[in-house]
Amino acid sequence: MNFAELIQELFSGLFYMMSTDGFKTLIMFVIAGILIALAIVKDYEPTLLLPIGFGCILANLPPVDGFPSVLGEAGFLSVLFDAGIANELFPVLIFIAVGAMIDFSPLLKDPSTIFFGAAAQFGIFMTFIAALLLLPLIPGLVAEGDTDMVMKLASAIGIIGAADGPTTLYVANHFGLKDYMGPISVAAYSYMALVPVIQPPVIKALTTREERLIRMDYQEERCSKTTLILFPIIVTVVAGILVPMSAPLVGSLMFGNLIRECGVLERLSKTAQNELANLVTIVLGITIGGTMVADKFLDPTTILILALGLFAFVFDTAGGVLFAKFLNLFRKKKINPMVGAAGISAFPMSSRVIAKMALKEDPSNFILMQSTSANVSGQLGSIVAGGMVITLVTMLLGG
Amino acid sequence: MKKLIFSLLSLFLASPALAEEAAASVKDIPLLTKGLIVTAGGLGGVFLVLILFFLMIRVMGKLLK
Repeated sequence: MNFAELIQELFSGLFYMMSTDGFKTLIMFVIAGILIALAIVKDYEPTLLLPIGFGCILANLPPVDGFPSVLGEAGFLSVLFDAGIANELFPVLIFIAVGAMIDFSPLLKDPSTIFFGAAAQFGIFMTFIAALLLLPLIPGLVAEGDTDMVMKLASAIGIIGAADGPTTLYVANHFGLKDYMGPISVAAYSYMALVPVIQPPVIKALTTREERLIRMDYQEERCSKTTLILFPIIVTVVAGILVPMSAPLVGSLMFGNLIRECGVLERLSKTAQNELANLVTIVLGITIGGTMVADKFLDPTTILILALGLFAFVFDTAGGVLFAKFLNLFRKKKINPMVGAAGISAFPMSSRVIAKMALKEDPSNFILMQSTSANVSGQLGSIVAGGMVITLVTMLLGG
Repeated sequence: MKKLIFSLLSLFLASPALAEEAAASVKDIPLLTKGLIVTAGGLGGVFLVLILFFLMIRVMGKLLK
């Protein structure tokens, strides 16, 4: 090795940064910086956006033997990806933690709000159709006539509208969309963080002030312990029989909830809510960030995925609000249509946003419990929607 | 629609020959039609499952009162 080669070897990172690939790396650093800034400055979903941003930096560092050292065969982000995302372990663990955090009693006391959990999945399917129409227009994205890939990618993009990160990852991973995992998960988690920005204008555009002032009764009586214990067991069995593809997610969510409600596993319940949730969030975030490699991320498809993700959130919100307005045509006791918007899964952010909006219109109008009830229904609805999409698309692909 | 029903039936029957034929015929369905099937089936399925949950909660509430 001569002196020039030695210098090139020693400062390979610097030379790389001065190349075209280095310029792409700089763009990825800016994107990572935006995610980290949103987390720290704006406090938008910091537990996820910060690790994702940092993972993005790591994944775009100059390569050693063709790959950034964190992404090679033995790179720790590759190991984490194979250990937790490629086999769907992390989404399942996250759901155990989420289940342990959810209190289903508002829903069990007033189950009528459960339908908002279905209506607010409207955006998923509208986005799915939109993606089916738009994806073939992107040159070079899929080989001509490869409708299977279009269907798979459209499913994963549609599921961003579930406002439910683990379900989005689960569907994307099920269809083997590793190359698109970065933009899909960034869209899912960023828009979840932006629920306070996205939902209010959509709700205001679709409701009158009189509708936003509607008050709703709430029964203060407690739900029986037996009901709280039986609910997760029965839901698991029913969902597992009707939509088997949703079983891992419903099962883990309900397992976490059973730990919480059974009353004899307080230590495990606290661990699931805190240590498990925190640990998995750390590794999940940084691993997702690790999928944001410049070559795959800086692509027209990413822009389309981000745009369609926003479209999905808007249509989910609209679906919930319009369904509530539709129900009001037949009900004596009117529903505040804002509650319908809480049927998206972003839990508990969406219910808090809606309750805050109601209080802004009328400081004595408390609809937090009703919107929480719709919000937990949304959690169930999004998982079932994910299972349905996987089942139907697999069937139509001839699998 | 006939193709879809045929494919569903054969998949349920789990007959390999029928399933193969059905898979081939399902592939011929236009992309947009597939999209509409997923939309109708998906939304319908979500509503159906949540209606069942609703009934289940109501029944549980009555029985455990």
